Amino acid sequence: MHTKTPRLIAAAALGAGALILSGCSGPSAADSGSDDTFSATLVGGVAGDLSYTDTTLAGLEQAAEELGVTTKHIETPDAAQGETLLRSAIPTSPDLLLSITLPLDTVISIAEQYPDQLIALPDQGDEGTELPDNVAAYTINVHEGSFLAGVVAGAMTESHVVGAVIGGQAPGLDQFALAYKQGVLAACPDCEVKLSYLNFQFSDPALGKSTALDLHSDGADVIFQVAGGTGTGVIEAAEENGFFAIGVDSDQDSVAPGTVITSMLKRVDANVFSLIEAAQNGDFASGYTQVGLADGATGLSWDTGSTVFEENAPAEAAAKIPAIKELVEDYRSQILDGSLAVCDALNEPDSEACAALG
Amino acid sequence: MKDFDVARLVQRVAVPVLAVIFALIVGGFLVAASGYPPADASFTVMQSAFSCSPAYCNFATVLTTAAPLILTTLGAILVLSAGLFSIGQEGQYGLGGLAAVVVGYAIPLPEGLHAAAALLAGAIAGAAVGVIPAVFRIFLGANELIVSIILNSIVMLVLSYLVNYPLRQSGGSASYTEVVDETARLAVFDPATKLGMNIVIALAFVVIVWVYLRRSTWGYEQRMAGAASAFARYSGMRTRVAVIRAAALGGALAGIGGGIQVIGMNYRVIDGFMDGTGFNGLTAAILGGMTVFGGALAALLFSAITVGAVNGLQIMMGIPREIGATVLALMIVFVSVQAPLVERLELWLSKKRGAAEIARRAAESPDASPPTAAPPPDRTDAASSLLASTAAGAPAPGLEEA
Amino acid sequence: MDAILNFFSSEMLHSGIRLTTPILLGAIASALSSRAGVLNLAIEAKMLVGAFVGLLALDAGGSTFTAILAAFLAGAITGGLMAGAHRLGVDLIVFAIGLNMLALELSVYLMRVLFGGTGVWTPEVDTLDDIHIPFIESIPFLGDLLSGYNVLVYLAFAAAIAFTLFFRYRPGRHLLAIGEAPGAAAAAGIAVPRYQATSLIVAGGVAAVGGAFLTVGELGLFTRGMTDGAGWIAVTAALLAMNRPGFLIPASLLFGFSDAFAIRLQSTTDLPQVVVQLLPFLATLVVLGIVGYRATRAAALLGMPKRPRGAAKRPQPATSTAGS
Repeated sequence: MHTKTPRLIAAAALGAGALILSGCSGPSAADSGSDDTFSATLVGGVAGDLSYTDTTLAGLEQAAEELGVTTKHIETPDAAQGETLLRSAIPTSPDLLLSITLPLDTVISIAEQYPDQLIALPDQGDEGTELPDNVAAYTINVHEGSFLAGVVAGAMTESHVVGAVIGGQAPGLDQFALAYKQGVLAACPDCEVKLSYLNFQFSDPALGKSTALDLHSDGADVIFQVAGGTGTGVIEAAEENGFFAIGVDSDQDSVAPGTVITSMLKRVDANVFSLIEAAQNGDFASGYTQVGLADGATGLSWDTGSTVFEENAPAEAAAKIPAIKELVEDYRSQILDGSLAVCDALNEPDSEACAALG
Repeated sequence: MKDFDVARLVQRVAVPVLAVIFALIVGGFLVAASGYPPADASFTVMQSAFSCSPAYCNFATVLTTAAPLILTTLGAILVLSAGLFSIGQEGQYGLGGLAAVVVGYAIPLPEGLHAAAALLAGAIAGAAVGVIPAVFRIFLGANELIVSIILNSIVMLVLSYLVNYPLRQSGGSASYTEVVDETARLAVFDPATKLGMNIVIALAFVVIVWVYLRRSTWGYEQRMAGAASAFARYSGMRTRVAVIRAAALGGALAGIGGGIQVIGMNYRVIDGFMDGTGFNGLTAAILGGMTVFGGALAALLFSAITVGAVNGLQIMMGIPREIGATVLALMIVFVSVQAPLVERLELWLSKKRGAAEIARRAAESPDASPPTAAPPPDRTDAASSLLASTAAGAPAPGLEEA
Repeated sequence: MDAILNFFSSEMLHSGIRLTTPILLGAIASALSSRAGVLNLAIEAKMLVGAFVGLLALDAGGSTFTAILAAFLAGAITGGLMAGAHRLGVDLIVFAIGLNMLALELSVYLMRVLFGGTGVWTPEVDTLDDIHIPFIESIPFLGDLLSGYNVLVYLAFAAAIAFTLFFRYRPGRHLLAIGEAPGAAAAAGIAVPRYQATSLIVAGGVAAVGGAFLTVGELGLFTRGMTDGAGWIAVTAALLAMNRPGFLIPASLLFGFSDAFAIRLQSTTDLPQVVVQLLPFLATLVVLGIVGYRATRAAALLGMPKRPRGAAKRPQPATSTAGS
């Protein structure tokens, strides 16, 4: 039974030998981007999630078109391989390396190892860690936009029950969820807000659908999704059952026209674009930069002129929109002039605004 | 006799090589279907997997990726060679990694000792998961294959829960544990790829497992328990003990695999840590013909194709990276089909030889016994059926002795 | 009491039944294969094939019926491949491991090549309509339980019942005999290879329809590994049912409802979902242990040599079936 030992070893050795032989003769893989055009490589995420990664990629594409830079995206489907992939991108020496989804300390250790490589984090919460000189990070105040999404939900609901499907219970996601709750209660003090947290499943549309239908059965008639790919199931559920949804990250209004009232934008794409633009112009600024409602880094799809809902929604729902828009503008100015404090569950979880939300 | 052996050796090498080539050809067609010249594609894969420049060594990336995979491969080989078809390497890898991380950040220990303690914790966790299917099989008579599949699901659920809730890094916005202490991290030779002690440990275990299986009494016992359990029992071996020991050691190896991934590369467990390294280990074990060195080489080939497909095809040529794993899957399919084909070929050859021999003897003496067909090989357990082909490939006893 | 009733919302019933459907179809396929004496671990592969081909057919302009038929045929072909491999004496466990990996990777590769470089494919298609049964629909509890699903849900439950009835008839009895003792069945004149091949082909088709339920029936989109282990859960559910056709529905319901229950749990309580999600798996382990133990005991009482029952469930060695 053991005499067959040699055959597969031999086969494998043959194969590997052939590979090594041919590998030696080729030119080095590392000499690609030697020309003059500015090059940017993004590492992280999986394209086609219709959400976070796709938003980020939109910024990369925009940079390619408008700034004429060479761009590349390296997907990281397996979380544990993310670091290896980021490391293997460095020898291709892009002028700017962008990273999403990798832990901050991993990025910092790589940045310290390669002080000449500029690294940009288009969406990175300020974890209080000092950044090396070659790292720039943008922190998006998504709580500001989420508050406005809450206002929309609170003003729209008939049942006075609104819901949210959240990918998991974590500070970064509560930054959306709690501010949303605060916004709902601002527009509709007697509303009930049901937050349904998943177990960090961000790519399971069937689960999103079931969860949304479950919230709907409890009376929720507007549901905000903060669950990446899982959220497409939330929108699907709303479309099939005649209630409303609010999209997240990118403009999802046209995913289900007339069902998605608006989308809470997290403009990672804008950050990607400005980070690339700055680096190309030699204005790379290391450290954290906070961007929010004032910079257009967060907000609603309405801000960018989306009218998909009004054009496709049932008349009575569409009729409410102008009044809601006014309400939103009212709150927006309050946030911008600082008279309204929105709960930021990521950076200031102990603030008064958050404490009031439990 | 001599010429026959050469012929058989040629078959034995040629047929699996054919299976691999076949998989590559089908893969080539698939690449051609996506509008790229297959020759360029395969060249790019090899270059991205094996080239080395002073700045960055692709092959070092392959080795780093291969290190945990080699250990899960060894774990699979150890268990399967004891006749226990457990495919629980994925769960063992996952829990092993988690145990190593917890020891790595929660227990302060001096450098060197800390890493060893973390790996030991990984080994214990892996062994604990690994031993369950064996216990179910031996004491309850349940199908260990199914038990191990269920265990994978259970560990996956528990791991995800632990990483997201009790063991989640405080204040972090994503799902991962705390980072292990500096003292618990494996030494790194090549900072660019984090190649270091991880591959040294993996290769050391290749030798250790080979010595264990080939040169130790325990190894002999467990091989016999797998290959001929009745024989082993009658010759006074405690097969139950041998099988449980094999399951524990196999689990420990896969657990160490999880351990070196976390203390050698990630320094923490990220949600989604169970990414198929355990399962791929089983696959590499099969591709490597269930032999220690074959398995290790297959694990290396596995990593090379994966790294080559991602770094080469996807990044440089824009061909979907899934083509790498597709070709590997095709290799498994073709290799599995090839085993019985070789068996049939050999049976046919030996029959032909037998017939010729009988015809010759019949010409010499008229009262020669009629030929008997080769007896069906005794392969009640799946693990030995994997290895296949030799029992039937050997010439029928009657002919040999005649 | 109100809280309890409130917990078992109508939507939970609906979710439970919907989540059960692919598992049930996969479990039928798994039990059918087991009954023919083959441990079929490629259910996951066949589901993915069905999910992908079904959506492909739907997008190509087919009706939902042709999409499901296409999925069935694709699964049957995959099952046919397995049957052919079995005939040759291939180790079906290894073969299935290869098939699972192949289906997972090749589906995504083809998706990316055919429909662009992204990780999701959302063609403009109409998924199956829900069927609302008059009268029953308006009965409180019962209406939610029985009405408002697409045709595949009803088909899955009908298939499980048909499968149970099948064993009351001659071919079903033959299949049972083959699963228990292929050698004896062959000696009794049953065409073992033909039965096994047919079972594997039908099982492939049925499992593939389970996959098509996800794409053609529910979501209208395809993503990498979108069956998300449903094939493995189906194998587990079939084992929980001890491969008895009559137990398949309750076993699959347990898995389906534990997911629905977990969703419900986290929107109404603070209990971690993992507790509920683990339950069916732990239950299966207990069942496997008890069944195995009883079989071992029975064998011991009859004075037969102790042999793990699991061993009998493995694919038979090449020569004993292919050659007979």
